[in-house]
Amino acid sequence: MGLTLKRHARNRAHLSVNLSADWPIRVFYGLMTLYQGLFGLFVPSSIFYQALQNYEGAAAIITCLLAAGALLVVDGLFAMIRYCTHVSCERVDPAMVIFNRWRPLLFLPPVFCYYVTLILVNRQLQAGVLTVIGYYVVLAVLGVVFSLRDGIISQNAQRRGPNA
Amino acid sequence: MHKFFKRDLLIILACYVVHASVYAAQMSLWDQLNASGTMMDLFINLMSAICASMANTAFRLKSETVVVSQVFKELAYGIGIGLTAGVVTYSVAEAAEANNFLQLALVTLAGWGGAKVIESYSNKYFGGKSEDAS
Repeated sequence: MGLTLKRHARNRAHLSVNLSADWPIRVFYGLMTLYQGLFGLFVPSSIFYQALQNYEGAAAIITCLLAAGALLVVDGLFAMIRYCTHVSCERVDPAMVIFNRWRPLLFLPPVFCYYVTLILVNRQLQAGVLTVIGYYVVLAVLGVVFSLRDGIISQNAQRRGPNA
Repeated sequence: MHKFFKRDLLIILACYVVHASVYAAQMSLWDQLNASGTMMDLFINLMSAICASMANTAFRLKSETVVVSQVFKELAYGIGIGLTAGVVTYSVAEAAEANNFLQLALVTLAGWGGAKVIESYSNKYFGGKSEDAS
């Protein structure tokens, strides 16, 4: 297959097969985010649940987590189909161009949600504060790293030009 | 000309506010930082600011018009700017005794906006090089 870059006439988004190669990361982080949102709805020990108990506005955080997670999973599944199968993806290409362009907005909102939630609940936590905070900080940093990695891949694909 | 004026006004305002925050901090800084929860707040706020700055970097990397030649330099630059803007804004918000969430919002926006401001300034100083980057 190699590196096939298509240049779109209107918005010059480079949509190479290699840009779809990191589908496991998208699925992983999407599921992770989705689970956090679902935990926030149903599991009492989750910090999102506690935030929801104490503040009405925390529903927005959970909505954001669920939406970003679901979109990332969809994006990851599209990318998996493009990368791993011979199915022609002409029909999902416009959607992939949009995803490809705005992917930082899928990776980064959960990060902000984690930080806001930490601030919301950090007055009420007693035992294991450091573990909980550490866990969410690591998740947040992972989101940032994945987002940057995605950007670096598209920079490399772009610099190498459409015919390389 | 108008744009120039607005930018410089912003810088002067920022300098003034920073000095005001320094004078407002009469107690020893270290004592205040050690007060309950302040260090954790600072930490979370700074993480958020750095993250916002990284968001800016991510969009720069995704952009088709900006070609980044040294990615690691770009990343270090982003982290440095996020940290600086975050610390400044955190101190200002703390001195003004702002609400925690207002503080978080301000710090996050500063992390994002700080990168933009310095970018436009370096564009002015080292002009031409990133002319194609706008």
